[in-house]
Amino acid sequence: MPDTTPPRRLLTDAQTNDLGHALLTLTKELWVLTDRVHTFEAVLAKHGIAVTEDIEAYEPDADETARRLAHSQRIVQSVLGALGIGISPGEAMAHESVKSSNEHDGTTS
Amino acid sequence: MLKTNLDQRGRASFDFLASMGGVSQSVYAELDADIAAAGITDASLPEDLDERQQFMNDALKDSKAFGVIKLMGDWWGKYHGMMAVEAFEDTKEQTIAELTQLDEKDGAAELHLDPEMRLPTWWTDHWIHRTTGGWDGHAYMGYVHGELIHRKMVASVFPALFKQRGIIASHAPKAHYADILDMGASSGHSMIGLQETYPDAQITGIDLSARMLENAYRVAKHAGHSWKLYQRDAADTQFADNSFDLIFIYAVFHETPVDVARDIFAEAHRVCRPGGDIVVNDVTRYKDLSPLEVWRADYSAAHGGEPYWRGTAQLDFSELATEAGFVNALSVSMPPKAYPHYMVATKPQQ
Repeated sequence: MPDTTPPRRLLTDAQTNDLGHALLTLTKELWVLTDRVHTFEAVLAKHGIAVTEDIEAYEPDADETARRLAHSQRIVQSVLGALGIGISPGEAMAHESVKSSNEHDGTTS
Repeated sequence: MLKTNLDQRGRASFDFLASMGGVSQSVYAELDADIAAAGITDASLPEDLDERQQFMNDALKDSKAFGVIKLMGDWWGKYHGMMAVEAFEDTKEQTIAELTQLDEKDGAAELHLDPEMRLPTWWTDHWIHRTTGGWDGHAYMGYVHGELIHRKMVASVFPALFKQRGIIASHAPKAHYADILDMGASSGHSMIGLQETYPDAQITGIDLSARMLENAYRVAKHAGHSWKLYQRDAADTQFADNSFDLIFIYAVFHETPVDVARDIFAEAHRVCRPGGDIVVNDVTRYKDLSPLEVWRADYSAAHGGEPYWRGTAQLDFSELATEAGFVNALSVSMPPKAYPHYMVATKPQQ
């Protein structure tokens, strides 16, 4: 049985503005975090642990690269899914989980 | 200058606002291109300012740059105060301890607050600059606004703005003044500009905001100045006639209705000594700007917590000063951008 909740309009016209505000707030939070990483590297260097060059030169091996790619795609797909494009990984996982649970119980969906 | 405490989050948040300010220049360039592409020129704009805003809204309805400019401006306006309060709260134990130390420090500065004061509704009925809660909306709003917003946040976007107070003060006609009144002293930074320009002067500051005056008091204590600070209305200072030889009014009038501005000029004239001077700084009057520049300023003000900007920008301070009884009034919009704008005038010898 699929999700039969009827579609509805979620955001009012005024909330489109709020969405813009939220986007800029998230960008600011992203910068706060990025700045924190820069600061972290600088503080480590101050204590004799120079990691910045190592970070720049670091090359993940094939397995790690694949894991990171999957992670980054998951983030992108989450955002696109929320915008109604494709299906978000979380939603896909939830569907998968329901499906396997039903199969385990012997029910069908 | 008071010491400011910001943790990494607060500092990075302020840095982000500064970088947004830089980015907005490129968006404004795109907006200019959209305006040109739409065939809009100074000559094509309606004379009436409301009609001009509507005309531009219609003409730019498909401009992505205009949408982004509006979004960035709105976000800044709504959130900058909250961000500063958040930054204060994150370090408040240390900050409050340091500010309390200053409050208790010996010094010649005086602070006279009036808890019974009836604040005018034009001042209480809106949040200046969209600052959450208004000018007295936080127990330490003087520090939050004066030190965090103005000295950290705004100064990083407009680095020249902070020194402007002293530059404007230096345009007073005489080299020395004995008694200066700063009408609208706020958090004390215009008084710093005055004191640096006239080191021997006794400076008195008045403001409607108790929270701002508390910060001015700490600024005075920190710097060792003997300022006298009073919570009083600039339209009704309660000082004796002819008390001061220089009246300084920095960036006050665009926060007041036009009729109040006239009352303040009259009061300034009353408390100014014969032969004394008045120096006023405020937003550039619209008649010194092109129609498109006026639209931009007027639009930003209308959406930036500045309901009295338009009225003030249509005033001529020289006329108001002359009406009040001052003479030799001179208004200047400094090149190349017609900013800052200031006016000097003198009270005639009796």
